[in-house]
Amino acid sequence: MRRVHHCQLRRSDMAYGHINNVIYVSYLEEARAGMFAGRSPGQDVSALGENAVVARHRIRYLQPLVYRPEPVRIESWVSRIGRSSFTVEHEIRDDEALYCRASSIIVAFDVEIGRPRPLLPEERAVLETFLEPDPAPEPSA
Amino acid sequence: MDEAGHIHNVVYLRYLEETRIDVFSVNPPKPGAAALAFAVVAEMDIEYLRPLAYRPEPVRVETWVARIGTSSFGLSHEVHDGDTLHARAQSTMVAFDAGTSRARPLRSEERAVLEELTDDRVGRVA
Repeated sequence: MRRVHHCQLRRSDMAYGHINNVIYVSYLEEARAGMFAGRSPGQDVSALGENAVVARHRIRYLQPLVYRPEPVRIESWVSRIGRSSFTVEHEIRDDEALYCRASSIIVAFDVEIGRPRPLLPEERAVLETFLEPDPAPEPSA
Repeated sequence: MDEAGHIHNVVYLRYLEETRIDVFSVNPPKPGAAALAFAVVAEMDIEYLRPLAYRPEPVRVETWVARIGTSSFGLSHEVHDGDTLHARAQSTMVAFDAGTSRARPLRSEERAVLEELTDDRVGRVA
């Protein structure tokens, strides 16, 4: 299931006529935090949004995004759940265009010991609600 | 910084951006090629290898040109602290005509600057 985050752009995010590339990654972080915050009691997995560590971002900027008052839509889903890490996919889009496609590897992290830790069962359960594995690549002809 | 006192992942991208501006337009100035600093980012692939704790001393960002195309070029970056590699990134940059909002071919003086940076890593502090 994809989670949809309506992201308000800010005029101050513009540089040279378009939204600065670094700002997109802050937008993705907002969207990711929203996937894990505000769950029902017993499903407090906000640590995945707040304290987990990013191991890798792969970001493709497909169309320049220019400030407008209407929010853009960030669709987020999980494509992989590992032992300590998972992969989150994002699309920044509206009905007309896909502006950005990103894939981020996130590692659950124990701040006390400063090391990765296994995902907790309640965290896995929440991640599974967003799971949408990438389709297998089509066999080459 | 995040709660654990580490430099936030988004900030690394800001360091890379500052480095690009520094390398292409400031230090030293590159007549005819300063616009490379404002090429647009088409792709960014960054791996965070070790957390970086805040400290007053700068880190070293090594940058070199990995590929030169018609309108685009590839950059490689490494964020180092002494002997420790903290992050590694590859980006695809596209020369952009702000007037027409379209990609444009790299100019010959820009290609010359990029070629110089193909062999040499440029160390910059961020």
